[in-house]
Amino acid sequence: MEKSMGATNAKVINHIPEDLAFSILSKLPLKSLKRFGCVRRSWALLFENLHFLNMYRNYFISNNHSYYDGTSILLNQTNNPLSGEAFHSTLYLLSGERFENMVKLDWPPPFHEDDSFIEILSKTSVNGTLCLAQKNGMDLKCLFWNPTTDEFKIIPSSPFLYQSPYMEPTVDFNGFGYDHVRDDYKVLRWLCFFNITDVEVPFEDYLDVDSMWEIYSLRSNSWTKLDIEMPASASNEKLHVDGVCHWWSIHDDINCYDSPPRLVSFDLCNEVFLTTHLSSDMIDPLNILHLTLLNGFIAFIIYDQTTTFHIRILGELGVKESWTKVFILEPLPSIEHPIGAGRKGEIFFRKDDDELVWFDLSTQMIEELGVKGREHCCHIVIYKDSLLPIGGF
Amino acid sequence: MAQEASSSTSSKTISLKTGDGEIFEIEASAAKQMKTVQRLIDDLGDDITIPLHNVFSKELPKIIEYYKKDITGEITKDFEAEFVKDLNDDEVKVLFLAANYLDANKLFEFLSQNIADRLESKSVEYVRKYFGVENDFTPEEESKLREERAWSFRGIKEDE
Repeated sequence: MEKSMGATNAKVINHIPEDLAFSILSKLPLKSLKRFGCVRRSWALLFENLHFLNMYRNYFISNNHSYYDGTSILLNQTNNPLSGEAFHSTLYLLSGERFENMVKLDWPPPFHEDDSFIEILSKTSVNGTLCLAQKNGMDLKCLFWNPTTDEFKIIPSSPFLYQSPYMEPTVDFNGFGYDHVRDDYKVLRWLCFFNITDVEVPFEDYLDVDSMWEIYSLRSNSWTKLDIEMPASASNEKLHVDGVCHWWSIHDDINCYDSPPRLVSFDLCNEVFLTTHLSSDMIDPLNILHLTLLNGFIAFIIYDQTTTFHIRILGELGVKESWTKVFILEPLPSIEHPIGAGRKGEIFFRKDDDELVWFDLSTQMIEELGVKGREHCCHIVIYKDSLLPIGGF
Repeated sequence: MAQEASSSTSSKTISLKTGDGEIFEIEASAAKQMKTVQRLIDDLGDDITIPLHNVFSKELPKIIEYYKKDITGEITKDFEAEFVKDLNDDEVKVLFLAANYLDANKLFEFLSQNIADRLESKSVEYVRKYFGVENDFTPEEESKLREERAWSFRGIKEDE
């Protein structure tokens, strides 16, 4: 009796109905999903199946990536001053289910005199430490800071900045992050030199290069020139995840010519980089790109004048075909541009009246934070606090 | 026949009869987590042995074990890992389908995730067999798609 029951079971249970299959498929990584598109026709078009897409979206939003464990959200806001007023960067710690608690944090002493346009590199922290930078004409400040312990450590000046009396660099801070192989904190920077004098530079004083990459290591407490040709950043959106610094560029490797936008990912451990091109339907001269980290995934928020925001997440670094359409936010009236993403599917935006707001992917609701900010000068940082001394060593 | 609960009012047990004729006891509070069972209790009363035609004696004890832990709030990541450790892919599938039939949501979601984890690096052929689905591509369509998605096959051992 048991045996025949077993046989019937086998026939009956071999097939999993499609809606049940979706419950399993929606929890798979993108690489597997794309491969299993070859199983049968309906699976090749999973992301165009609204039923599947909703399941995938729900799982995506509710699945807490370990990157966010124990983290809080910082808002680095710049005011939009009235004439005569000065610019100020203000740092807020956001907490509460709906970010109803905003606590202002004081910048460390080196910024007490001038707190304008303070950048928090790569929108990230390493063992509770942030890397802050400020460019004020010739004056360049860069330091590590732990907001929990108030400890700060000034990063020394680079010997490469003023190699020649005839040339001055523009400095682009590309990233801050952690090299887990050497247990080291690193800061990556791009210098682009230009002639500041009216005279022709004497041949022997000409620099070999007109731009270069340099990297600072906390362990050696020094800047080293990087022998690398790598596209420089086209925007303020720079990220750090797991020892890799990401940004996007519209330049070629030698930063000479314009090229289609690409994601650049620099590995702080082996100091090599990888480019990921964007798929052709992501590229349009009218599109504006915003690079962000969404629930642990590298993502682009793509928008134009129509206030519809398309979100593409990257399935695999280096693979142009793995950009996947996951969310479309449309239209969000009065929303001008994103400023970053939170920990559980919140996306922060700035409105045309300067109000900073957040959008909840699961409820589709928009709420104001209660603070205003200047266009393209406000950023969200994912912060994990720690009482460790800077560098931990 | 179902036994009446001894001391506390909350420890009433329900009798469940599997498709292959075996009877298992489950606490009423655990039965509540399986919406199909609860619906049958609502219809038939809690003194009657509840028939579960599509669940069998191999799976039901395991499901009962899960919900026993659930009502005492003891489901941890470690428990869940132990729970599926010795099950092969097919055994998990049977449990998954049973959880669906019983409308036991928490177990269903956990098992979906576990199956997803098991299938992550598997081949297309394995997945076809596992889900019991037919390949409805033409050979040309399939090879074209495999080419387009070649990156997703990197590092994966395809069955012959």
